[in-house]
Amino acid sequence: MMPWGPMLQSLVNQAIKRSEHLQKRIKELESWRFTSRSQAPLFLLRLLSSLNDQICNNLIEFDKSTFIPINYQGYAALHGEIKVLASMIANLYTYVSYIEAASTETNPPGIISAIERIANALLSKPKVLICPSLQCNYAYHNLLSKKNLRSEDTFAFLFDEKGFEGEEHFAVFLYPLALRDDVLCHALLMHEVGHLLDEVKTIVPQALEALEPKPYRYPAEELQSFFTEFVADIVAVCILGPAYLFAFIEFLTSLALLTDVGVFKTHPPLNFRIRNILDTIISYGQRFGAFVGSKYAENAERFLNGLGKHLSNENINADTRSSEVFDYLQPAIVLARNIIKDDVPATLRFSPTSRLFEKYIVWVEKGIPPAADQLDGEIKPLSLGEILNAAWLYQIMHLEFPYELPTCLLGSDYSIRLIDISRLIQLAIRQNEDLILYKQAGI
Amino acid sequence: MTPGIPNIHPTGALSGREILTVLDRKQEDDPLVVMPPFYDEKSLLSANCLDLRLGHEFILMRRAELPTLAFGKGDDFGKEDINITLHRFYETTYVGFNDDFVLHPGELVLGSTLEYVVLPKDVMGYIIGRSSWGRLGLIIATAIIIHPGFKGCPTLEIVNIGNIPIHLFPGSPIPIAQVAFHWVGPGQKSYAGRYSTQWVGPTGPGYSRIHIGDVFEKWIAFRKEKNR
Repeated sequence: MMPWGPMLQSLVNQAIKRSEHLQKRIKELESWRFTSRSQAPLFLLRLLSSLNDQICNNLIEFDKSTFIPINYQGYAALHGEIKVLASMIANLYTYVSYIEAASTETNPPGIISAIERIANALLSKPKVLICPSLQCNYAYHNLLSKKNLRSEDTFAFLFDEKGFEGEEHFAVFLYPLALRDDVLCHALLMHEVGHLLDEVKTIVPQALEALEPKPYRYPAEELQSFFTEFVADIVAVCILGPAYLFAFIEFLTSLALLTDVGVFKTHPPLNFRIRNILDTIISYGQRFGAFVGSKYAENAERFLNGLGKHLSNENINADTRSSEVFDYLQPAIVLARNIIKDDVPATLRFSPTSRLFEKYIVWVEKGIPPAADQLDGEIKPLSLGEILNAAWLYQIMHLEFPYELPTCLLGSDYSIRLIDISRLIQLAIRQNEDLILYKQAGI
Repeated sequence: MTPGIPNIHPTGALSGREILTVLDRKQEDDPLVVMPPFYDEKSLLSANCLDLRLGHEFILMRRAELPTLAFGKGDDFGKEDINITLHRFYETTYVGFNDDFVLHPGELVLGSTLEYVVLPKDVMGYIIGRSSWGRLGLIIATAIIIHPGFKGCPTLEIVNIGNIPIHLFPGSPIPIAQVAFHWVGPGQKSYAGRYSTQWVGPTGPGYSRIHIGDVFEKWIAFRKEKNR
């Protein structure tokens, strides 16, 4: 029993109780089923358990302590230390909630498994956890990256107490729970995968070397954070092609953000991101020009052209500050596209000319899940890019021309069709993922 | 029509070769579609039926939630109440590729095939369990007909009638059932069920829809009148 008065005593007791409760919860979760096919959830659970144990032991030591601070400052310091430990336990609860949300029940297999597979293929065995959150946003956290940690973070404990080197990557990708079944929108998760790829392969610093150093009136941090977003967009386009752009527009429209010029301080104005995505699609040869005879491709081209015009209006030109930043970053953006093309294996890159693409759109139109094709007597699973683009091209076909953004994306027919397509595409991706596993198993 | 035999409408079960022919029809000629196409041509030709695998989605019965499923008893037991009762009785769950689904003795679960099938208008199908599973005590489907024109993942009513729990492997390449096909004679009507007007069929197991339809409503009304 520590001799510090009832307030601190109570704080320590409550924190110990919460820690013990957390430990029980972690044990329960170890028997849950998770969407992830990797050991990532179990790895994180064990890490959390070990951290919690350590924090709990520290609290018990406080509880047993007979040390009496000699003055008020000493008492305040002690109070502060105990409060930090208690808040670490609260943080651990947040991480446990990620794992709860990653269960198969709340996070059905399908596109989540596909994104995880691609993240694993891009990098050498990162630990990836994808789960829904109540925030209406897609987000990425690298839990074990030392450089991202603030000293008060719970995981900082790992580096101080356990001698972690900070070379591990544990990526948590969050998507909005409200969009759980909106599979087509989950193309946006590839942007978050792009952040992980950038962090591991240090794409941003490499590409920024292409810039001429010049006196600049904008803070370097702002430039870097803008450029980081452009790079993550390029990764997403490289893997998913125009499907990423369609998802981006759809998401912004659903949040009523499409007409906002600059909403986040850490992100470039949305119009410039769209401009960059469009330029990247052209740069990677992903326009559907190869299918000029096809009605689907014509519609997609019209949509993309319409979007180009939307960006040419005074909306984008009026923002001279961002225009200047965007122009200044161009050499680095071009270099980043080349670096990313080299870093992403050809099998993962989206190319609309690679196969009989139009056939897959017809399948969607006929209500058949575009999971796999029989080519040269062999069953070949479609790539995630092919599946999502086939779905989006069919969806885009139903927009009324001329495409007035964003109103053309808000009709009830459009939304109802999106629900049906999402159901079909989730099945297609689920089947597709099973076939990929068969191939890996040599079946 | 059987290719090469003009003016005579084919009858009986489709041979393996005929199934392949219907699968190979062009999109505009109303083909049989099985997605993903995971059939082994040799075994198809010898067995004259297509293998089906088990999907990842299941509907479980919450046995502890309801004492009984007795519809049409009590005065205020209307269509909506039945719907709510049925949904209280059901629970949807997903089982991933690496996980087993353990079915205990006497337990009923609704699953679906992994395959999404689209039947042409001149062919119907019968889903039949595989003897390898049947000998372990597993019943796969009771409502076994797939109507001409149906598209979707057929629902399977899976029951363990054996004495020991059985592990099922959703998504695995081990077939759980098979489907045999029959030609349908001239004048056939297409599938007119719930999904017949929708361009996307069911992509997982479906709930019981016992309370949908005129006959059921009339019967409920009759029961209410009689109980007054």
